[in-house]
Amino acid sequence: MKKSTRIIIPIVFIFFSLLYIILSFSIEQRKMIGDEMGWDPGSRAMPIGIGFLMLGVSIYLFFKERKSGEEEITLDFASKKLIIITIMLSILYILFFRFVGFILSTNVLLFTLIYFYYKRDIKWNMMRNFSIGLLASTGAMILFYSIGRYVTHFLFLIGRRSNSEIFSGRLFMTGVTFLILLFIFFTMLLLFRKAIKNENFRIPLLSGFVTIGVTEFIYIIFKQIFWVSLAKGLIFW
Amino acid sequence: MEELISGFLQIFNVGTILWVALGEVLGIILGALPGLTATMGIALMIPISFQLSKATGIALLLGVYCGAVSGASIPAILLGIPGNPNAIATVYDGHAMTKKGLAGQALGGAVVASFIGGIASLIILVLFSPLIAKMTLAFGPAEKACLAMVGLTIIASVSTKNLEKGILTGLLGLSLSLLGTDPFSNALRIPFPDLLAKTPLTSGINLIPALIGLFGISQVLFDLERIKQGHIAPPQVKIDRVFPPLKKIARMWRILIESTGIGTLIGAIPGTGASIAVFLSYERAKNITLSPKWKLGKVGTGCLEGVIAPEVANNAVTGGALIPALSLGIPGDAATAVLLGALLIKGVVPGYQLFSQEMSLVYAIFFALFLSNIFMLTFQLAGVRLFPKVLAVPMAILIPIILVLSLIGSYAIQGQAILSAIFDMGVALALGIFGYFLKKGGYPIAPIVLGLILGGMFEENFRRAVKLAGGNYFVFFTKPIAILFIALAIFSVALPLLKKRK
Repeated sequence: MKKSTRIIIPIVFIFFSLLYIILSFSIEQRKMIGDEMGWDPGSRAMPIGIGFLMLGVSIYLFFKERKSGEEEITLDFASKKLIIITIMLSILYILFFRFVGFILSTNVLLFTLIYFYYKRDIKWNMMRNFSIGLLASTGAMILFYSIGRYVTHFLFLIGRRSNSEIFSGRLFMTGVTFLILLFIFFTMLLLFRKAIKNENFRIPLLSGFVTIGVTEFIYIIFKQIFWVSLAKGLIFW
Repeated sequence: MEELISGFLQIFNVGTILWVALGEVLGIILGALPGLTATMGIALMIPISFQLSKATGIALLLGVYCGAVSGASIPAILLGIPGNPNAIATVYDGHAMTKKGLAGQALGGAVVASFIGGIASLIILVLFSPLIAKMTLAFGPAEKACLAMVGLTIIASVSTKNLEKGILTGLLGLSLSLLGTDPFSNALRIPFPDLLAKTPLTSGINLIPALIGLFGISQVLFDLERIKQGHIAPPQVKIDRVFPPLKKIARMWRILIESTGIGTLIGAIPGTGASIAVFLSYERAKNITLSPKWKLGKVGTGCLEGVIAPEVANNAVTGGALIPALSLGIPGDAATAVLLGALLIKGVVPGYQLFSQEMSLVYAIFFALFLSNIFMLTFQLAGVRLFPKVLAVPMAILIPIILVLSLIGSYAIQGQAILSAIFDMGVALALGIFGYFLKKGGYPIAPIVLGLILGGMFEENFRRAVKLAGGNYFVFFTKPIAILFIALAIFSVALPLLKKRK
């Protein structure tokens, strides 16, 4: 980080403190419930106090950083690109999570990041291979997810018909689904092992396999074990 | 007795044992990967622990904590790169032993030392934390407000070379903790209340996404700079004899006792952390081994003593750091700050209340720490040839996985309410990006977390104290314990300044 960049942080803090102070003054000043005598400092005392303290320290740091002769190492362009892409994709992931759904958005985010991180230096001419890889990975992911859903649904029906607590139990269904998917995953990995060793296919295949495995694993842990409502989005089944 | 049995049963059941084992393995793997810290591991596991029962969730996190602290010795010994800053002192003799062809003994010695340090500090934790918690009975609102201030100033002053940066990030944490609704009057304290009154912001900043963002996502962005280095080649080291000779370890009794003492004591001082403890114990061991009467190898020359001393201290910190966390609600280091956050989220209030009303949970925590140490010893010794292989996992794969886990982990906390859950993901990402830039600028992250955790405690007790004193703001200078805490706070701020002047 360059010296000029280092000064930016105290400036950001100064603006943040000023905004914080202004907004603190706009808070409705309410006393503690039951404080008939009005001895409580009130709801905006602490925010105002903290805001001014923060402003004071930020101004002091601004002048101190300006005087300081220290310079730190700057980031190379490739690393900067990776950081910007990671931040942008994460923002898009959050914005579209609800509409696109967990499976598809996680697939896109993971595949893209692993692919680009492997390449390290991103260039336009790699976009064709990347797009083909992403499409293939998305297709395989949908297929893999659908098999998992079908297996769980099938086990659920068996469990209900058998009236057995074990067969209709969450852990049994999740465990069997997980084992079946694991078997399919490793069979696919074995089938593609020669292609993975080929330099031309190595990165897209590795990115695809890791993406599918991790996405499904997270889905099983959070959705099937902990019943977290992961957004379905476009994949509605 | 009933509480002891209840605590035992809360941990020693199949489900919890499996979760602790899983946490331990994950911890060792995270600790072994350079750049990934125990703090980050705990933060990433909080969403899963949140879904489990209180005792099981905390036990899982303690498993990750113990595993990560001890696992950091693997790359330190084999590659000469510490898994995290706590293993820096292990590099000197540990890597020198690897070069001599004694990698197995160094790894085994580090594991045994970690176990000794962990268990010894656990005994101290069991003995002292109830006593300290009892002392808090004498604390009124004024004392509690000053205690929160001490916790903040100490961590701000020792977590960075630059005191002002520590104070500033501590204040940032405090300012963020005040967002939401005033706890006493229900007045909204959010920007643009007319516009944002129906958004999740009214509940304030949720601690879990904040922790995940600050320790998980910021670390992901930080590690991106290392991507270009590719992955570290797995060490091609022959590991033969692993278990160190017991007679030799017995001869080191003085090093073991002193390192345990240093680790536990330093760990118990809020904000100090293991990196100070490991250097102090290493230096002490160096002095001890200089004397020929102990018949020990000289520390610094690539001998087992130089591995044992820092590793005992490193793991003794785990028990030590939990003493103030459990008894006072003030964490000993960044990792325990995250653990404390997890406890608070689970509705566990540290201090006398915890020791008087939820003693079975306290016992469960002690048993969980014991079990974690047992697993740490077993897994690390059994997997001494296996765990180094994780060093071969490319960062290009690891970083995206951690990022997705961080985002989904933040989402999962309020996973039933999609909008709030997405808001939490946004909080995690925003704080993660901000945390990254702060780290780049040399600003410490731990004070933000402490500010977020202690902000509520500070404000509530401050206002209560002033109100009870009839609006007198000088009430803090009328109570001896409060004065002591204020003096401690001033001392912690003044000491680094005085050192600089020298």
